Amino acid sequence: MGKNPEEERVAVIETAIVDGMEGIPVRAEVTLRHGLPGCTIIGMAGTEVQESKERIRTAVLRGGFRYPRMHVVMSLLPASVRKKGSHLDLPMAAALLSADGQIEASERWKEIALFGELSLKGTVIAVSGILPMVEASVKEGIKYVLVPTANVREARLVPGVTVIGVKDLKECVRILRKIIAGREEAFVCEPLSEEGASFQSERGGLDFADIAGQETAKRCLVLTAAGGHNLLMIGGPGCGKSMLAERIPGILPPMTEEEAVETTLIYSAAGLLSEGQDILHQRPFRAPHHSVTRAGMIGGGLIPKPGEITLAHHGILFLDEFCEFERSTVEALRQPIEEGFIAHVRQGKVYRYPSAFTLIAATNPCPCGYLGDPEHLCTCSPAMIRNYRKKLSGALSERIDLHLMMETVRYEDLKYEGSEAKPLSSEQMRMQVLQAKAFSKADGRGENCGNIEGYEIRDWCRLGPQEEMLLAAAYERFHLTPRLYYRTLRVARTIADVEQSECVRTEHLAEAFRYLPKEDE
Amino acid sequence: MDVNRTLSDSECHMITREDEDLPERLKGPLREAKVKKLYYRGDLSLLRTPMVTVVGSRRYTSYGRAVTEMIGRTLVSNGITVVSGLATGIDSFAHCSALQHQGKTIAVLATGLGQCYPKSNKGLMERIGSDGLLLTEYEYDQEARKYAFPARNRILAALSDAVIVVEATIQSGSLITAGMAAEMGKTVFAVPGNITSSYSVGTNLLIKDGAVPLFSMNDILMTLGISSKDEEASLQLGEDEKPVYSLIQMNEGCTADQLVHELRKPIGTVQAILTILEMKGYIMTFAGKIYLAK
Repeated sequence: MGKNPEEERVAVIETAIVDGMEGIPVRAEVTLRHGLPGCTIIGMAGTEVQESKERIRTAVLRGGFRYPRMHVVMSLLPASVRKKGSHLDLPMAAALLSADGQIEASERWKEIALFGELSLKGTVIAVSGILPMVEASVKEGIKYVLVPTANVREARLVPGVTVIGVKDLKECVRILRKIIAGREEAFVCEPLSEEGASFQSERGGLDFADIAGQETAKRCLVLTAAGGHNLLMIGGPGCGKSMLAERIPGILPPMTEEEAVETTLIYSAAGLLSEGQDILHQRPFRAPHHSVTRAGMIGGGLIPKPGEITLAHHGILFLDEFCEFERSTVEALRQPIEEGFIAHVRQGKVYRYPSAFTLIAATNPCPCGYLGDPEHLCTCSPAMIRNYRKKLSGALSERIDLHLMMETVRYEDLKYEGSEAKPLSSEQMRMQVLQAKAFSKADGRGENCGNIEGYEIRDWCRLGPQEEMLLAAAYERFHLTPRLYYRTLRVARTIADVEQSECVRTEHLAEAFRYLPKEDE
Repeated sequence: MDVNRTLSDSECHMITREDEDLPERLKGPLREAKVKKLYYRGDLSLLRTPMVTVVGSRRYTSYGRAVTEMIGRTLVSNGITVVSGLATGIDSFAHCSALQHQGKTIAVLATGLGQCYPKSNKGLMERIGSDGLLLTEYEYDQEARKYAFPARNRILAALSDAVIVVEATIQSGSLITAGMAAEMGKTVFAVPGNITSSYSVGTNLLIKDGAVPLFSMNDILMTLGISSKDEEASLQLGEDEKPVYSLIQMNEGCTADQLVHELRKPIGTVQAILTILEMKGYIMTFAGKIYLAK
């Protein structure tokens, strides 16, 4: 018996996997050989990949294709990289059909990448991590990607590649044949719908107007949203810290295109995008409970999963009951706050995850919560208070630009007479934030003031002689240090942005001083 | 009789009741207080200056702190030495306020001169040792014992002509000091507080029991027979600062939010004015509450 030429055929298909936050190109090679019918998958393939065999077999038969009565060998390269993910079903199935001669060989296979999980019915199911994988494929020179229909919007975020959605194996094969035959005119891409950055909070219409009083707190939140300044709120129970925090997402400015793609990529790699979702417009708002572990906070695991800080990238990390967090967890925040990324090292490979977030922390002034309350007696001993506050001191506190002491507001104290004197609403606060950001951008500043270091911020402030005098006097009076000095300038610059002023003036500086930490707090 | 015997620390000295360096007027009260000898470090001549004892509980509010600050400033600017017990809370603020305004202060300790209680006041104790006077009945190495606190309180009562209790919870040791002072015939002042405040229950009770309520700093000076040297400096207030200042005057202990609400001015403006007022020395803020600095 002569050698069947089809036996020797090795079908090669391009695909990818997700490793950490990035995609790694993977090649699937399939060949058939004599032997007991069966299927072997090699290439450090994890459990879900091994399980593909049954899904592929069933889907192939359901699709009306022939399943070869030979031994199938599927090799996933590079052999030394762990393969995980259920999206390899589709490329391996296609490769199988190609190895069996049911789809023609062609040079064009090199330009095509496939992703998708197969159901037993033969349909193609949505998978996570599409964005980083398509990005990686494009870098390898891929021109066409076939993805599950539900993932099309996500895949379309990557420029320079034709994205085609497939709903089942049959359609996939049909499209592959078209591409190979050179008939691309059939691929029409609907433009990405321009969903305006309308961020009407989906959280049941929470509005800052619900909160009476707390003008200083609202002011600080505007500054945080507009300038990316970290904020610490200190106040007893019932002063409204949680209520304020819930409403923060409603005043955050929309992300730039770049920021949005980056955030979407992170969520895609983490498997957190909802089905059919495309680009994320709303800034992330992460509020982990204080029992979160260090790994949960900064990321970890064998192949590091992104932690809360990475999921809060370009957004807000809200830590309520800040003093209840484990010390080691809080310590671990120092470097990411300073540098904007976190590095995990695994077996010689460095996974660098972005983590440029704005921190908002809320805490009681003492364990019982009543320190400073005019009516309730604080039952904590000085030692208890000292211990509790330890987390607030030190390196992390130095990176918090705004310190806010809050008081319980007594409702009877507040009289809102006349229509002008209504509590500040989310709409109004959002306007202030957007105007400040627009002003800052027009001024030529790319970055948030909260992130501008040292000398640079001085130049942006454009201080006049009166301002210099005020700063000098305040330096003495309030016992400032260089760190506090620059902190004041950063905050003052954001205040000036909110007030739409090109130069930072004395009133902006004077206000900025109020948000500095006092020694005994 | 020379009994200035040097002890473990070359700067620590001892003085007995019979010693001629001890002012006459103190000998009687100290005998009543059953004090035989005192160890000291610092400037003994401070015992010859007019002295007022300022005490309060370890737990305090920003109101108590603000009033202590005012009392300290008033006393030292009229040449009076502030005497207190180096405890955390009101005592510490009394000492600090005196030092801050270039005045003199005496601390009566519940430990020996070689120990410090509470440890967090070590810095303060050293400052008082060099700029003021530290007094104690106890041997150099003696650590704080429970009995030492009421014991030193009688010295606090004995040294001064007047005792001011600023803020006291119901359990505060400063009430004991007040009681002892009353028995010795000294004037006891108590600062009234809100009847809803647990931190002022002690002081309010003192007033009920006959202590002199302290409504203004002048009250102290008049009782001691001192005419106030501190003229009301005319305040240099800008137009936009005036309404803020008067509102604070009517409503001390208010917060910035309350000012914004009453004045209907933007928060940024109000905050800026507050900073200027604070820098001019007209107001002070503690834990977000604003008081006039007088």
